[in-house]
Amino acid sequence: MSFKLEVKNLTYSYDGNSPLKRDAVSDISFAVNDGEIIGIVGHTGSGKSTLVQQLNGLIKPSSGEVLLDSKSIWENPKEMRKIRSKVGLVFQYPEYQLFEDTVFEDIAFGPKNMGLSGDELKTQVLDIARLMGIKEEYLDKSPFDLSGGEKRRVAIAGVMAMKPEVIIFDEPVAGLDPKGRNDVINMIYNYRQAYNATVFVVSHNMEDMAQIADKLIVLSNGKLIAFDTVEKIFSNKAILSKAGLNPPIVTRVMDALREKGIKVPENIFTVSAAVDFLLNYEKEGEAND
Amino acid sequence: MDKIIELKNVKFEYNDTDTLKAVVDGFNLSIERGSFTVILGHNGSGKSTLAKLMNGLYKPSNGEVLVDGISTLDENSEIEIKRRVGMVFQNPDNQLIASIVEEDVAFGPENLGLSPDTIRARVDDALKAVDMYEFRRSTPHHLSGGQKQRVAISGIIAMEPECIVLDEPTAMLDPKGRAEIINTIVSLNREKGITIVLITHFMEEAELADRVIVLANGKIIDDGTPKGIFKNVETLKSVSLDVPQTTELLYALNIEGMPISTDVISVEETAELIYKELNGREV
Repeated sequence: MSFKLEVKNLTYSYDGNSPLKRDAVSDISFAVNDGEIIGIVGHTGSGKSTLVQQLNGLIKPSSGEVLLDSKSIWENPKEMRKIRSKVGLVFQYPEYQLFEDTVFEDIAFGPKNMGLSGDELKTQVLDIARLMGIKEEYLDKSPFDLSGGEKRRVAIAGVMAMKPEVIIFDEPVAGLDPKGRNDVINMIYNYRQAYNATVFVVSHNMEDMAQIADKLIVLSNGKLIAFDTVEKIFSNKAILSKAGLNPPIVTRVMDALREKGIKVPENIFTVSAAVDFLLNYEKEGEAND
Repeated sequence: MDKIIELKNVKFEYNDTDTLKAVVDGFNLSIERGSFTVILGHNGSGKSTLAKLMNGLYKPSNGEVLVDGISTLDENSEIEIKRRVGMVFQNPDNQLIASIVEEDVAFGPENLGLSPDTIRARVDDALKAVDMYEFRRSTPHHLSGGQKQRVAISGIIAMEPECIVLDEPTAMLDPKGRAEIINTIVSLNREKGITIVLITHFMEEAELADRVIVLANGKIIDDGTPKGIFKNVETLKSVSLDVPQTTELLYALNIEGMPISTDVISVEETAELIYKELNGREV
């Protein structure tokens, strides 16, 4: 079968021909399908941002390839614009890049550059705004009159308006309060549901990853040290500690209970899963009395 | 009790498309000398405004802010106030100006007109206090986010302030960088007795404070110890704040009918409570 996006032996080196040569990412391979949400985790400097910038051709790999629908994205560099409308990248703090007079114009900027105009453009912008819960009365406002969380959502909608088949978020919830975080997580989830898109999310927050990701890519010092389902990775303490990461807090509580002798399954990563398990455990205990 | 900062009936407004909008109005708050206070609030709750009012970066349009008894409205005391209350902001890149770490830390003391020997001693002490002494000759842009933020804090310490106000100092850092900053803040408070006001929306960071103040729409809606505050899960959720995941778990168990206390925060304490509850039932 063919994958939506495939990365083969990807390596990116800084200062390539000098004695200071250093691999930011080294020999990374993985493949993902349509509709999958992939979390990319790792400590600062582990190569997360360098990796994602190669997925839409912002930087060219020193060696290895990125295949989109089985075709190398660098096959014809003149077509890179087309690739970038298929693989969208939302940078960290994307609200710093808002610049238009109105929210509508800002969301429309991407699709306009893809050649859309008139009614088609308008429909596409309105579609995304509706899907993302951006109220119509906001569209005529200046983006600079919005709150931090609202600006972030508008900036993300601007990338989504190009309807990319693959969309990458670099730390999409950094600096947001809990409500803002939930709003953005819902946006990402809704986009995947609506377009069956492949989604990459770079984040430090394991609680958020537990909530949204299907699979995780774990990077450490530029190398891929694991690529597996969230369940498998969160129950593999060796991998997590090698990558300098902690499992979600609720998982740590469950681990502590297991050490005390309670038979806790290894696949509890969210509060609701923990509550279900504990209530059941309690009931069974009573039944055995 | 000895107060380092007092806000008395403070009003602060800004110009929003030609209409004045009050961020805080009739606001009262005192911070005790030597304490560690965390201010929690959602985006737009007024917490950054509050921070800037505390060292005179913003002046109240009504009421007054006293730092060590001196009003921030008193223009002749500006330097005295900035000396007593230092500020650390979110983005470390915006706070570092020199090309060598120790020069950056020396910037403040140099402006105080101190002797070279005193400056040298203060810079060394300040870098040691944040555990960055070995990086004194590095260039800031080669440091990690957490290290840069520690250098920024060090620059404030070199001014020997009574109080440091930190406005979301960890928002742009990874978990390791966040832990570095929080450890630094706690040791400055406990070992050097510096008053700390930490503004954040990371609930875990509130765990170590003496006092937590919850702000929503420019008003204090809760004020107490961390454990006392996190008990009020519904209040926090109603102003779009979250509680730590441990509290959320205990709270959810309570709703589902497991009578369990919700006033612990750490992973170990939470596991211990649940363990006792489950075992109590089984015996």
